[in-house]
Amino acid sequence: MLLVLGNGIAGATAARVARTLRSDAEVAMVSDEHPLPYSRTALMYVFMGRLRAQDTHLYDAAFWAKNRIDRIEGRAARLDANARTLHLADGRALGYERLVLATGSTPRRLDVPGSDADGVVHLYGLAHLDDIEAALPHANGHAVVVGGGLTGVELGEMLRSRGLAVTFLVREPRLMPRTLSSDESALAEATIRRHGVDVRTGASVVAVETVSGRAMGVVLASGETIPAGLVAVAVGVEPNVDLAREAGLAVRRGVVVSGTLETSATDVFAAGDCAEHASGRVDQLWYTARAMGATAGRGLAGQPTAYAPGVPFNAAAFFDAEWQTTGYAPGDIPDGWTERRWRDDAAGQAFRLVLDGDGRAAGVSSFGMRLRHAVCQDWVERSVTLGEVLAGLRRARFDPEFHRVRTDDIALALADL
Amino acid sequence: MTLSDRLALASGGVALATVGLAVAGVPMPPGLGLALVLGGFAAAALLVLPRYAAQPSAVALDGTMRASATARGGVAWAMALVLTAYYAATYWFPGRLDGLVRLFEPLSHALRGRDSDVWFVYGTFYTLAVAAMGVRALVKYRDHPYHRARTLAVMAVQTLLAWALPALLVRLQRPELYFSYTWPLDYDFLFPSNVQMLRDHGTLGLFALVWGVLLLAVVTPMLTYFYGKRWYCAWVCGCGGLAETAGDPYRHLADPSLRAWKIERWTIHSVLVLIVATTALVWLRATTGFGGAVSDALARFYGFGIGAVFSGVVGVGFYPLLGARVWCRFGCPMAAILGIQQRFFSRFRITVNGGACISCGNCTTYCEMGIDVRHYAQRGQNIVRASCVGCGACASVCPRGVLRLENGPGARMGERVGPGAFVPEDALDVLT
Repeated sequence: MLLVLGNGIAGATAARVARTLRSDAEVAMVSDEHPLPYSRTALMYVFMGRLRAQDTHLYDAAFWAKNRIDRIEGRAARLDANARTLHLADGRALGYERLVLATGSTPRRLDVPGSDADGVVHLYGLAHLDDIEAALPHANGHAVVVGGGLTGVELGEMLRSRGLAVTFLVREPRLMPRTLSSDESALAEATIRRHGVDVRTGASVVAVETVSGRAMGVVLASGETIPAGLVAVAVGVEPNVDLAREAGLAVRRGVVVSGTLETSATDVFAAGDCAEHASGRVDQLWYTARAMGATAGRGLAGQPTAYAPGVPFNAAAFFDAEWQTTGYAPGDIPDGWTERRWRDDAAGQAFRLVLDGDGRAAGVSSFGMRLRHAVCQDWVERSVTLGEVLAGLRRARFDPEFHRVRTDDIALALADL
Repeated sequence: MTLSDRLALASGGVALATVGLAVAGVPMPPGLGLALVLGGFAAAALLVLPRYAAQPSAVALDGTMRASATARGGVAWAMALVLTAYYAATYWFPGRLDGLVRLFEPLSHALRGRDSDVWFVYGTFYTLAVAAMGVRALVKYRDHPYHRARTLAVMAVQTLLAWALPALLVRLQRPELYFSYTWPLDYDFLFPSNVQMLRDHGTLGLFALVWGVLLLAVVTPMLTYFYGKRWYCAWVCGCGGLAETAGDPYRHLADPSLRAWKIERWTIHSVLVLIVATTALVWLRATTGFGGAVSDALARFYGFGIGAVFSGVVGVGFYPLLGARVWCRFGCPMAAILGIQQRFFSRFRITVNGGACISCGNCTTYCEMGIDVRHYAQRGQNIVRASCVGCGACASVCPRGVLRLENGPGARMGERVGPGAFVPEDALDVLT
């Protein structure tokens, strides 16, 4: 049997890919979370009443049945890599030919006094929505979100949609400084503020105030106390590695994998949030989980393949403003590199092209506008010049028809530099 | 519930109560009654505007799955009951609506110079719904120029071409002509009786006949080739106009399952075959006198079963339960023709932006035609589907900018555009 532990996007993708390559084999996914793979990125929309839980399923039950991918509900208790057996908590033992660990991650707790109080919530899976729902009536109309990443922004949007006053505490001096340019941070912050969220940058939490075990607010390093009956914590996630560690697999922060995503155990692969590359890198994005799942799925089918995700990309939404990036365009660029920026505050739009030391395109990012992924990827793959990017900017338009597209303005502005 | 929500409910209640009193035969001054009915309904539609204006997010969908009116709750069932009852009365018990019809006398006389009737009442309600809910859509989609443009288009077509112009023609003692429809949606347009009627009406009748044929045989294939069926279904058609305005709150009620798609393909093409056969038989009878009983029965069945029950009672009456495009998706023979053209002879497609899909399901959920958009988007595959009316909702609700309606030359026909490893090329295909 080709077995996958975990049915998040990494696990589900691995199972699908294995099935495609091996029509004869038995393929199964084990999960104790939900019988049908769903999109974690859509959790916020369920909470906001835009989607029902079943709307977030990647495929319906008939898809998995038709493609003969068994869905086993159960909690993995122990992995015996030598005997190629996965033991479930209910006593079932699943023998496998090859195995993919896609066990995901767990939200990191806030390492301050009071962080385990009632009313302190996290966001990772469907069950967390119930936690947040249960905490709502005790919020007294005010919530605090701790953590300046994307999940924090999403929590802010979720809680605002229920009419709560939201204070968004960001430890860094600006939003997502490693990922966003300063222009993008500023526009994102403005967008979040426009939606009624009180954004506080440079704010670190030193304690959660509690009264008889229930959160009543947070105390900042500055000494200020912010009253809130609901404290949503989004300070990152930690790989779920207990099972692998107990089985004797090489584990550092995550399950250590080779270039083909094989773990230290024979015929056991790892993908997604739980995996750590040889370099020590742990990728915990939706897109990287999907890409790793596809590679692990090839390995699962007996065709180990080097993990080569190609030109990296990412996309996110800050309330109704979209951000996307292709290639290498970090918040602060390496020495010797340059960048060309365009920004329109009134329109809430920004565009940035990062050029490497030779003046060649290394990455693109944009805020408040939609760019065609294939075109941006092509620029980066071919390391084109500034001139070529500006000349081809029109081809990159992806905003809906009749939208006021700014590519000509951008080309003009950046060429003038 | 906000103050404006309460006022909206109260206005709708006043309008409904006035209709009820009129139907019950309670005498009232027609001018006042009409003002209460039309003003009440318009106010009910427009008083929700502050709610949209207060939300910076242009596509206000929060709470859709919880609200009674949009989540098949008691409010939705009550609305469906009122709507179906009204349709049933209009079609089969028009006498019951005499009191309501009388309220419309002042308007009918002012506009058409003749007495009101149930169909004038119906057309006026229909136009009011498109106009008032159109204004609501304009506010809701104020940051979305594509939606604004198509909303203005259907509002203009309905108000001018499908309401004011026919009324004016009646006033001028000419036949009541609707230039925005043709056969087979206007199913008896090509019946011998209608063709004869048009030919009896001189230049105007002849123009209407030629226009109807051109619309079907020349305009439709040309515009569908360049823009897809949306040029008609989301920009011109009255059924589409009502769906895109009054039906806008109900997009998510369309069933996106594979089973529904299979049923849809059978039913919509069956209706097309039925109207083609019926029209052919009616002509056979008219020219040879042969098969009178069969053609009469078929024509009667089509008028009752398809025209009244399917497109009217079910198509509109069930808006709050099944979504606004039931007729367009499962029945409309015009949509069937446009769909075949769109699937095989058109440049229109929904382009998927590389590997950026996060499989959230907003596109599939808010597709009013029940297309499982996500199925394609998460594979990085462009979407070419016969049923897509090009409303553009999927592109607007997508939180990652993954979808774009396009008709330029280029990738089409389900072509994969995913950027290599980020979208597994060997994704399984359950749909074939």
